[in-house]
Amino acid sequence: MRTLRIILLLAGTQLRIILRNRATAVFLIIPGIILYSIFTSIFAGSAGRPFRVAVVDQDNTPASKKLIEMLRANKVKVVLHEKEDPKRPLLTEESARASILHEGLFRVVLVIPKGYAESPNMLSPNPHQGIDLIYDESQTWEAEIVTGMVQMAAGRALFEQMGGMLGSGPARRSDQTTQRGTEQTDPEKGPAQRLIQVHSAGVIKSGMPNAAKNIFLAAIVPMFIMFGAAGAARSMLEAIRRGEIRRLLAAPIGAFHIVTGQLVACVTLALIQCYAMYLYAWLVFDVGIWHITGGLFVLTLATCLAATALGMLMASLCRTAEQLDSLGPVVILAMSALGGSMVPRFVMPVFMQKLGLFTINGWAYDGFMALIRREGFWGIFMPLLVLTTTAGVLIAISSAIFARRLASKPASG
Amino acid sequence: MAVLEVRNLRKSYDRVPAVDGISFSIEEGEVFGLLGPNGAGKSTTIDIIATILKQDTGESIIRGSLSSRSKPYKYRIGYVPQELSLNDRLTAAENLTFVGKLYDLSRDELKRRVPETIDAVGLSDRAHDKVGTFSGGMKRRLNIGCAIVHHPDVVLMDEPTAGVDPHARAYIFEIVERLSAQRKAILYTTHYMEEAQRLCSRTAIIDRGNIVAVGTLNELIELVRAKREVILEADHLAPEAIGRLAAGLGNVPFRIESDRARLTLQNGGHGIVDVITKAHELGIPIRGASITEPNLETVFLELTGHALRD
Repeated sequence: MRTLRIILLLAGTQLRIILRNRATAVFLIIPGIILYSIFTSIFAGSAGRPFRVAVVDQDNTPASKKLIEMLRANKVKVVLHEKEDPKRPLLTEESARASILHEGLFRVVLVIPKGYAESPNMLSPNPHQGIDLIYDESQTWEAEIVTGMVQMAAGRALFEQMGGMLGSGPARRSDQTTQRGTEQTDPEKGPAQRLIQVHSAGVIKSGMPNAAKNIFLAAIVPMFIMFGAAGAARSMLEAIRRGEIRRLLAAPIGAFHIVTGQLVACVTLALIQCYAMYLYAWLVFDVGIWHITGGLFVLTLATCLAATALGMLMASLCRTAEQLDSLGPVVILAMSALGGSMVPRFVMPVFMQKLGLFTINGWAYDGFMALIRREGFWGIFMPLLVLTTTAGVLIAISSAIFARRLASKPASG
Repeated sequence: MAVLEVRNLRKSYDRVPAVDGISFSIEEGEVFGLLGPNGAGKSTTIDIIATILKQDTGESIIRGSLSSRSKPYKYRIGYVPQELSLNDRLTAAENLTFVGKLYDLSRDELKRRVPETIDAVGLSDRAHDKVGTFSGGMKRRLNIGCAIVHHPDVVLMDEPTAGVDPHARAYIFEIVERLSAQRKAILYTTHYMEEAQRLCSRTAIIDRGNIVAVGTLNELIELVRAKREVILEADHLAPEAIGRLAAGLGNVPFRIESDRARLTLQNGGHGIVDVITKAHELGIPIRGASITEPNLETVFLELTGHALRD
């Protein structure tokens, strides 16, 4: 009980000292917001390549399966949602489809309706329904690419269906009406432009690519916390150098209290900064945070603990603030690059993705994305476990190093 | 019984002894000085007693029973570090409250002790001002306040007047004297001879990690049979003339430094008048003369072979 009281006393005093200066309080919040906005804007165009396409196969026939197979052959990363999940009816309802696009989980959703096999393309004798394509309006070019790929896939499917033999050309019909739209073809003008009728519907964008705004929140937060932790660690080294903690050492407390008190103060500040970023992202870019409140808090807390503990460890290994200034950025940037804070993890080669799991950023990123994909507690369990265990180990090591160093530091007189 | 007893403390860094078998004791109300130059081992000694540094061997004990290895020991010690260990963005009262809480003072005790301590160090009119606005002397006083807020038995003061002006230093001397009057045992380290002579009832002379002598000022002077020194100033001092003067005074030791000659006289022997008279007889054209009485600096020089400020 006394240990907890002393730790909270040290942490509370530290926080009071920092936040008493209004300029400091402002500087704590603003950089994260600026960083998030910059990164998301810069990397928005490239985030998420190669894009993932969600496909709902309501027809579930060899013809629909063939189309999907041909899409895959065209290097489209197809994610099937064939079965309806009562807990998460992602794609059977229009609103759910729009929701996953809004959350940035997919750029494009294709729906192959029931009855597709009866008329898989415009050359079929029966009325052709076409397929539905729902896309993120902020990335219209991706919808166009997927439309093109669908045509190519349909063409290959038709080619194989015909035994690989070239025919006399597509059959023409004087008029063709579909259930959802109308495409008129004039027999005088030549063959139909498309094999498959694609009905497109755009999701109203929020002003920023949906994938980017979510991905980069997951990416920026760990990196930002780590830089903040390095700064706090630097302050601690300076305090040791100036002799400010000598009185603490003479008091009936130990190095563990001092280090942990500093840690609690840093984690509290980091949480404030993170939530400032989350609120900003929600208010300005409509990032959904309120449906994942509990999971977001525990994951943020675990990330803050691990990142701050890493800062403490670096401080304990460095003798001077200048050494930390050299080591800190290298470690943080390397971890951030490997862990997905600069480029999303899923665009990296597999071995790099695995390497990223040796970083705090990597686990935090995976945890955040699991939250966004609504994978529930078990989706974030491993990231939570790894992050908190990492924090515990790093705190123990840095406490031991500090205790040893403080007990052996020679005096000046 | 001594309030603080230090037994055979030893501490080495890379086999170089910083503290080499130091022992002493301090009574209630006594101000015990530890006098030595920089690097003598004063701060290391005080840091070990304050349990900031871990000694290789030896221990310190409070009131015959509380060993430095025991937890209650730290509650009985107040430490005034050489560096200012204050939070500049907190007020004086907040600094004291923070330290008081580290020593488990209750809310009621803090309500009583914080104003008392602020009064004791003369900062009543600045109690609620941020320490960052204080002068150096005020910060030094608050530094002392943080060491006594929890009513320790022993106060360890490591050069508490470092970097302050004479006025602030005089104020700090008053604080130390008041603490002594309150029966606190005070260990006071300094490399200023005047401070030790003014404040300390007993002084230990420390050099290269060893205590070379302990006692009151008179005891130390007597120990080395410290001598007086007469200084003669002249435009031109011929060594032969000064040699004849020294021989005439009983072959007293002398040395010449440009326009000054220093003659060391035995206590109870010739005085300055004798020296001037003899110089006049020998035709030595002196333009000034002065005498220095033996002091701790002289004692230090005699015992260690080098000056306190070397």
